[in-house]
Amino acid sequence: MNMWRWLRGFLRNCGLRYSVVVLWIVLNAVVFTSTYRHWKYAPKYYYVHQILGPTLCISRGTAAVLNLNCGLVLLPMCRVLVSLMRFSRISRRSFRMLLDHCKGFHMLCGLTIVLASVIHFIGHLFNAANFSIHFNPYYVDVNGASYKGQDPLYIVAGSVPGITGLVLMLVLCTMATTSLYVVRTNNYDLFWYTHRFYLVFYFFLMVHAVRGVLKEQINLSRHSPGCDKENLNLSIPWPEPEHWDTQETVCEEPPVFGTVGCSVCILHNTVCEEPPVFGTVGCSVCILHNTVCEEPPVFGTVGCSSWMWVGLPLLVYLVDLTYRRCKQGHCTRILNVTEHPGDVLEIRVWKKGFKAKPGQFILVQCPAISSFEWHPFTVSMCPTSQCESFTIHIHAVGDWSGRLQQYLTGSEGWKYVLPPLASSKEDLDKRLVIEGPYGSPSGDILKYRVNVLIAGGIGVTPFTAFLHHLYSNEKLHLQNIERIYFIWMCKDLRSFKWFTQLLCRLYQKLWSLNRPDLLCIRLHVTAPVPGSQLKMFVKQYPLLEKRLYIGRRPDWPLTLMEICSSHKGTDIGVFCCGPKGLATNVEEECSRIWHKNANLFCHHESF
Amino acid sequence: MSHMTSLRHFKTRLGFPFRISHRDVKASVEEGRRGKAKTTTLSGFKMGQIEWAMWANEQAMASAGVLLLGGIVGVSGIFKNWGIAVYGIVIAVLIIVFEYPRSQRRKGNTIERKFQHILTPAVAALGPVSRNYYVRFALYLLFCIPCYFILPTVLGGMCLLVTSIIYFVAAIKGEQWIPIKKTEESRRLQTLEPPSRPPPRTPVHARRDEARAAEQRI
Repeated sequence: MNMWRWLRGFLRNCGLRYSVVVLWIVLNAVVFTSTYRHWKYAPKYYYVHQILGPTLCISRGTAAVLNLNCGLVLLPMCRVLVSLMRFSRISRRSFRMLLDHCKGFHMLCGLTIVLASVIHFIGHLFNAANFSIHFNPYYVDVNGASYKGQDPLYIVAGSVPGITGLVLMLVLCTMATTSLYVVRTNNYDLFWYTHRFYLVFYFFLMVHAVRGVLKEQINLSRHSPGCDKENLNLSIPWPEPEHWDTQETVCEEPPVFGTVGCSVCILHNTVCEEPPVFGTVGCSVCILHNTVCEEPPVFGTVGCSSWMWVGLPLLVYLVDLTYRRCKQGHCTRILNVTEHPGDVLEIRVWKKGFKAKPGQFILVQCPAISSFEWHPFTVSMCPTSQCESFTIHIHAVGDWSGRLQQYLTGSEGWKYVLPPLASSKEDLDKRLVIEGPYGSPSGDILKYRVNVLIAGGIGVTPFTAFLHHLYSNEKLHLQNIERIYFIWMCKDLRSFKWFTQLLCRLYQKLWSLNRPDLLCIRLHVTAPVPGSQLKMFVKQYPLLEKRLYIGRRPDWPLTLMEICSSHKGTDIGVFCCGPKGLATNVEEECSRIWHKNANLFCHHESF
Repeated sequence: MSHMTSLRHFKTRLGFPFRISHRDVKASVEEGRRGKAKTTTLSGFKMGQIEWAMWANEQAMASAGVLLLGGIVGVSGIFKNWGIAVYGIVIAVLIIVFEYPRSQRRKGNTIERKFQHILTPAVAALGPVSRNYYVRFALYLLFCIPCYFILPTVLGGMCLLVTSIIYFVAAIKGEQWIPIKKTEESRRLQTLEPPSRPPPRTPVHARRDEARAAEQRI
């Protein structure tokens, strides 16, 4: 029973996400094995396979996986495309929950690229060595080396794939090390800059296989692979790393899936009495056995196939990027900057024709600080019909945000309010470039009857946008919403001051609308609070006194069970925005708890 | 507006901005002394301030990984001059040990590697060798040269070269390796102690009186 309940919750919250992952794993496996088998059994690769052995198939298989993932890794990063999909008519709740995890898929593909390229690289190290050791003196064209015993280092250094491969690995290494969690969180700029190497990476990926070292035989109809052995009575022993492979194969049946399965039978007296069923190469080489050997094998280079995999996604991504750059415009103005306790900046910005829905986020760039960096921030107050400007709240903890604080408020320190509408010329010149808005997991808040909003620290911004929407919108149909639970955790009591005014005003408004039970506020302070501070806070905001929980975090199972039991049999939207630990914790509980037939749907984002 | 004035009042009363550690002051003074620019420019565009050493550390770990893998491939038997591959393995292991403990960050809290507190004192004992990033730059530059003579270790050598360049940049920017001091104690102080007695509690002064009375009785 317990297991069943857990499975239900799990499927509801992350079923689609994990099925996509499973689908992706299956796709990778299929691509790998089919390429592996193709290179192992296709007669045109007979000679090159003879030289290189199984590492040829391994390196080719991982190459296909690399191509696939290099294409897929770009798709989740097409912000406009993802936004279009999110707001399209076909989008459903589960689909949107899937889109919330775009970044995760991007990381998964990235990790696969790193792993696959390491295997690909090691495979080619062995290939280079084998080219040197098992030099084919009879058909010189098939060789990668120029003479027997050539140093593998020179084979690599003298070929386009070798040099581009080394560059690709180097670029990938720098990208991978800066994408590690530690560097990414503490040194976001660096992560951002090195990720721009993707252009170099894709360029080299495209040219990687040009003038390839691997050769395929192109005159199969006039020369059956391996036929010379008997006809010409070669005295030189064959360089066959996979000698055992050709000995054992039997070809008694026609191939079932039309693959080139039994083509390795060519050297031996195998049975191939029936014609192939699907009309493919299959056993046809066997039929030609001992008959066609009119000329020596002719070799051509294996074509470059990366562009087929990567070309379309790269094009989509570049179009997406260009569209974004065209849309972003430059006509913005900072109207006001307020500094709140705990290093939080509230910036009121006006942008021509800017519209946003609650829960959406924008990308912000400050040309005076850095011309390349874009940082995402949630719109904490959306533009309304009365007021065209909007606000963002920035927690100045990082390098970029710290310098933005310094830039906007002046370096001399604690200046609380800039004059409304810039006074000096210098203030007027201060500007931000804004791109967006894009949808986030919090966009679904209005779509549930019961909403649980869980915020940790500055993660409150998407929810305040929503609360502000409730406060300012006169025509809002409140009957669609039954209850909003607003749970906000902070380390410091002073942090609540960012939005206390809004909370109090909204509360008063709901009283006047005779819906005081609509909003249920709980403020949790996780660190100890000095008594004087508490006294002052309570004196200032008497309304929030009874809604303040000091020195503890919410007990999630208890809180969620309580919510479930007061809303039997309804769909409850749980929205969580905060540190990663909080988000995963809440998601786990949402999957686990199933009480009074209420379904908890968890939408979360973390930073 | 009333909100704002109260805020100002609030801040002055509490003595903002919070606590500043001794090290922060020292670092900022040093920065000022060196006349270090806050922003660096690159071809006309402004670039953010970056902690290079942190990246260099991760890059060194990755290079050591690549070198180790290359070394293992190199000693597999089909490559000539496999002595260099053995050298690569040894160097890679040394680098991993040397780079494992992360440096204390100049600002903000550092995420430690697992069990790094075991290695930190050993690396710190090397003194200027571990503290000064110019030393690391020179060491890795020297270490990577033999790697270019056989194929399997070439990539490891290239990665190591990149690492040494990043360390050079870090050294120019005045960064240093600083061992992480124990932070657990200070963290523990911040959490609330659970009450030791069950709820119906007498106030503290009453309890003190009780204890005194009990002492006198004895």
